[in-house]
Amino acid sequence: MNKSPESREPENRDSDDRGRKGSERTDARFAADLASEASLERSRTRPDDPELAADWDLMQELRGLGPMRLPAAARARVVQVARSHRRAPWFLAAAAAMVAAFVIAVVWQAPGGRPAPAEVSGQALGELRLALNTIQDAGRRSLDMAARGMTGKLTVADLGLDTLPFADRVRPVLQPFFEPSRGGPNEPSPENHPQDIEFATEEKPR
Amino acid sequence: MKRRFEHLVDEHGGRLYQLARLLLGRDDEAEDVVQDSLVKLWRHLPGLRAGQELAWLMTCTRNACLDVLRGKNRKRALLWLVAGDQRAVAGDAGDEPAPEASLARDERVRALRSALAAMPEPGRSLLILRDIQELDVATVARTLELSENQVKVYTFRARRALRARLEEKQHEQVA
Repeated sequence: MNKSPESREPENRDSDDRGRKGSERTDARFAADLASEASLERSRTRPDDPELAADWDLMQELRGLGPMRLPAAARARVVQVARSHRRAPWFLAAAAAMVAAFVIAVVWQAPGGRPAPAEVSGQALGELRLALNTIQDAGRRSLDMAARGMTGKLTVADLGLDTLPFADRVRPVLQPFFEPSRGGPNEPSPENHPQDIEFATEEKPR
Repeated sequence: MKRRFEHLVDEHGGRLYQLARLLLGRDDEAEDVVQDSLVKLWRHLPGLRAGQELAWLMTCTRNACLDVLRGKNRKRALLWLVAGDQRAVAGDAGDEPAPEASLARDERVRALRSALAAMPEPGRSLLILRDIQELDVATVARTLELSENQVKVYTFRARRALRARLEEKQHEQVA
């Protein structure tokens, strides 16, 4: 059977208490040992406390064991082995050459000095042309619709084109819509749409 | 760099040898381990900051010794330790004042080394580095990857444990 959380709670509390008490005891013991070691380190003479005095004696006895010297033969072998592991001059020269090449490459490519010329890719230019032609087509369709609505009601002269900028370029576009003899504005032929108003004259991108 | 390396060999070689000698109990193995550690030092020296070399060397030597010990029969190592102590003590005999005192001291030193060799890690290394070699707490802490307070407390406890072992052995001999 599963125990309810309540049934476990007192046990947890007990174990927590036990753990806390144990931890406190451990902490207290740690602190006491730390203090004892500190007093041993500080004392120049044998402590009065018998236990600490015995520790102090042993510490002095252990200190009396050292130090030792590395045997001369072992030292000679170590120095000889280390010499044989010295790096060859060609290795150092190759490393220096690589570092120099890297530094030159970094300096060469560093920003500053002359600014790089702006370059427009062919794709970007094509997209720009497509956008401009789209605007042009939409404009022409709007013009067609307006002209259809006003056919017979207005003459080119009524439009007051002369007061507009680029009137000489707009007039040939509008002229066909006001000339019934050329088929009217409802059936605009390619001739009715001279490419006078063009933002871009080059071919469209594929 | 060569001068720096030779200076480090002269300054710390003895400590390393003593550490290896006390951990392994054999002169030849201790020399091999120290030689390997110093050759490694030569390779790593350009990347080591000044003042960090001793802790680096101690760590390297201790790890190599523990690797050797792991691969060996501990009982056989202890037998070698006792045999090796006789040779080591004979080499230092010039410092001794009298044969009787020397004999008693030899016995005590042998007992100390034997008890030390039987200590578990890191207590054994702590006693070697802190008490025998008198290294500063910070260097020992870096070598053994302990906090400075841990170094102090564990050294204290290891010394107490060593004392208990020695006293136990004395009681056995008397009995």
